[in-house]
Formats: sequence, C-alpha cells, structure tokens
Amino acid sequence: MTRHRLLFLSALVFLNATQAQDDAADNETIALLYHKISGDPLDLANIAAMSPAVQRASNFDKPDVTKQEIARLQGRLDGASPGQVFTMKVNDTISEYDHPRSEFSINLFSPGHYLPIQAFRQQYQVVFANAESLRPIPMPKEEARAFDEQLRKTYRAVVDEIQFKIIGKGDPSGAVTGAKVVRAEITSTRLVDRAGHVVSLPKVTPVQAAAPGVAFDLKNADIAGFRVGVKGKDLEATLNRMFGLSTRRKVKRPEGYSTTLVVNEMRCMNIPDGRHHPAPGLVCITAMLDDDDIVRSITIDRIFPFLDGEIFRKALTQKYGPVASANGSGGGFSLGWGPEIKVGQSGTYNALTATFAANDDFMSRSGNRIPDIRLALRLVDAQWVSQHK
Amino acid sequence: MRRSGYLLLALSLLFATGCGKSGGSVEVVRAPASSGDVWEIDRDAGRPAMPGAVLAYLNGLHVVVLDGKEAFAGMTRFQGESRPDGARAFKLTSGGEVVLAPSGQDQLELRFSSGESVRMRKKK
Repeated sequence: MTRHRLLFLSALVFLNATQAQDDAADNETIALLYHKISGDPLDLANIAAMSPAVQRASNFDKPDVTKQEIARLQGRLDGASPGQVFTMKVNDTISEYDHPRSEFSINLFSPGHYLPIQAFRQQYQVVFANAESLRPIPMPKEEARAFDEQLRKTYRAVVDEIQFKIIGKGDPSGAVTGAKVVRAEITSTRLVDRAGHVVSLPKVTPVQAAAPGVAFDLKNADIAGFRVGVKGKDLEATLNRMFGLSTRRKVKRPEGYSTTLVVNEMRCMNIPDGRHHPAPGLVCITAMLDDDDIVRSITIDRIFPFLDGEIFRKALTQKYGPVASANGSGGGFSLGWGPEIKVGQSGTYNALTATFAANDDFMSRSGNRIPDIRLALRLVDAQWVSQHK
Repeated sequence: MRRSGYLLLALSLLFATGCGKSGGSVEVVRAPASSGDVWEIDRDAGRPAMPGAVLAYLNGLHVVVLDGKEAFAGMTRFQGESRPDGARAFKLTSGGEVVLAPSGQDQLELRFSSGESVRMRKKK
C-alpha cells in the first residue's frame, strides 16, 4: 500500500511550504487516520457533498449518491489502520555548517517545518514527533569542509526518502501551530542526491525514546514556582514579600471562584493611550480562590525586552514536555499542556497555558520600535473546575 | 487491631507532612515574611542573557528570596548546597541544576547546568 511520491519542499516560506504532487488516496488515508486517532471530528456529509460522484449526479439521484458516498467514507474511516506506514520522497535542503555545534541540519526535521497535505479540500500539516533526533548531521570540522563542498555543487539540495506512520494530533514541540496538525513518527529515512547516491543515513529514534520521561504531570506542575491547590493566605504572604502588596477582592464567577488575589492588576497590558506602556521587568499576577481560600487558578505575566519566541518555546518544552495544543497568530503563539477545560459553547483551553505576545500597539509600532514581549503563564486546577461547573 | 489502627494513623500523618514535597529537595511553602533578601534577574540584561532570563522565569527564579541555604522561588523552596567558592547549587524540579554565584557588589550570577546564565541584583 506504500507508494512513492515526490513533494517539493521550498525554503521560501518560514515553514518551508511544500508543493505536493498529490497521491490523493494516500493523502486521504493520512487525513482519515488523523481524525480517527485524534478524535478531531470529520464532517463526512460535507465532504461527500463536495465529492466528484455527488457533483456529477443529477438532482434526482443526489440524495442516494450522497448516502452511498458517506457510507464509503465511513467505511474507509473505520478501516484505516494506525499501523499503516507511508512512504514519500521530499525535496529538501541541508543547512550551512553550524560551527559551534559541529553539525549540519536537515531542514525538514528542523523546528517549525512540516509536510503540507491536501485532502478533502482541506489542508493538513504533517509534523514528525521524532524530528529533533533526526535533524543533526554531526561532523568534525575537517570532514565537514569536504561535505559542504559537495553540498554547494548541488545548491545544498537533497531528497529525503521517508517512511512514517500517523500517531496523533499536534506538534509536540509546539512550533507548528493551527488546525489539523498531524503528528507522525518517522520509522526510516535516508537522504540521497538527485542522482540517487546516499548523502546521509540518519539514525531513527522511536518517539518514546526521543522524549524520555517528560510526560506532563498536572498535579505537580508549577508556573514560575507557583501551584494550584495551595492556601490563599500562603500565596498572599509570598506575593507581598516578593512582588509588592497584593489586593484581595470578593468575586462571583461561573467557574466557582469567590476571591481574587492580584498584584499589578492589568498593568502588564499595553494600553494604546501613550501613557500606559509596561516596562521590562514588570510582573503581574492574578490568582482565583475558592470558598475555602484554596488557589484554583493562577496567572503570571512578565514583561521582557524583545526576545526570540523560539527561546520561550524551547524552555517550555524542556520543562513541561510534549505540547498538547499550539495556536499562533501574528508574531505570537500560545501553547497548552494537560487536560482541556471547556469554556462557553465550543471553546477549550488547557490546564497549563503559556503565551508569547508582542506587547505593542499601533502607537508604539509607528516609531519602528522593537516591541517588548509579554510572557504569560496560566495554571488552572482542571479537576476542580470540572467539578464546579 | 487498635494498635495497628494507631500505626496506620501515625503513618498517614507522617505521609501527609511530607506531601508538600515534590521530589528531591523541593518543597511547597510560603516565602519567609522578612528574613533573607529578595533578588531579581537584572532588568537591564541584554539579549544574550534572555535564554537564561526566560529559564529563570519559568522556574520561578526571576524573583527569589535567598535565606541562608534556602531559596524561595514563588512558593517553591529549594534546599541549596554550598560550594567552596561561595556559590550555592540547587536542583530544579524539571531536572538539571542551577548555581547562584557571587558576581561583584550586590550581584549574583544565575547559571543553569544547560549553559544559560543571567545576572541577578538585590531587589530594592
């Protein structure tokens, strides 16, 4: 069932957008497996309505053909096997030599890179959970010179021959964000040049071994040394000592919170009035307490001078392990760990959320000023919230 | 039967008193009200120090109370180990080690075992 295909990996876009010569059947199987494993719902009726079979059918026959098409898709979804291995050829490049690290990098396996797949008129992004173990081509400097010379002759182009299987949802490194991020695991790979000569044979490390012992543990998780489930008066004393006088207020929230404890409330937000621009170093904390004075949610923000989001992302995955959800917009992103908490009709957020955001506005941007960065961390007692809704 | 009940109660109490600990020399407590000094990562630190500053923030060491051998990062207490050069070493909850070493008048350097570092100043 494995088929070879050629995908064109371009370095033009920051995530190395690729143009795939689609093998529609394999792409659809990848998409179906993603929905089957992740539980992300697939609108079969809508997909069936857009299928060529239904589009070609007369208005009279459309209802019956649609039913048949839905049944066919449901059959494929039910029959999709998580153990299926897919084979692809991907046009890729190898980076310049990294002298301090004494290594080259394979671009497809570098953070933020993915394979775009088109299926059912939707875009899917395939990321590899064990990519980091495959990324480097370590090489001493003496050897690297000759290897680099060889790469320069081919404009650093290589073809990645990869075999992979679908294992879930989302990019565990949090670098690829958005909807329909397919988590895959490379099972074998080799890099060849255009003539088919082997350039590199990366050693494949299975996902479990690639990220040992970093499963997220909500019970013991902390954000900047703070935890939920502790006494409000202990938190209050700690805040007063470290961050300045905190303010305690009664509130009534649908989640069941009855008290809020805050330091520098709202001061970390940039208000575009020209006067309220939080300076680097400012820390703002908001804790929500229950009737028994136990901390059930805590949020901490700190303003930093401009820094690369990659620094934050790496530090977060180092501390909390594989990312459960990742969202990005503009220059910012938000990563989540732990169980999902429902909010409103359809929204969800994770028990631990980390946000990277440029703390600027149209007024501060107008002077070409490099923005400060707001790093926000929020930890919520998910179990308590689910019991009190 | 009654004796085993007392034994169970005693063991439960012993277990409960250790429940704040999350492994190694880390304990969840409130920071001391007045003893020790409050230190903070240098607000003027430049871009090269940002990886260290971000790691310090995530681990609660961006603002810390140092009291003898103990460090209070948020509500996490680290038990330090003194080094001959006057530095103190702490094991992090997420693994790895951090060293606080004197670095001039009212200054410390926070060094992570992964290589990142950032300067700290006494908070006024």
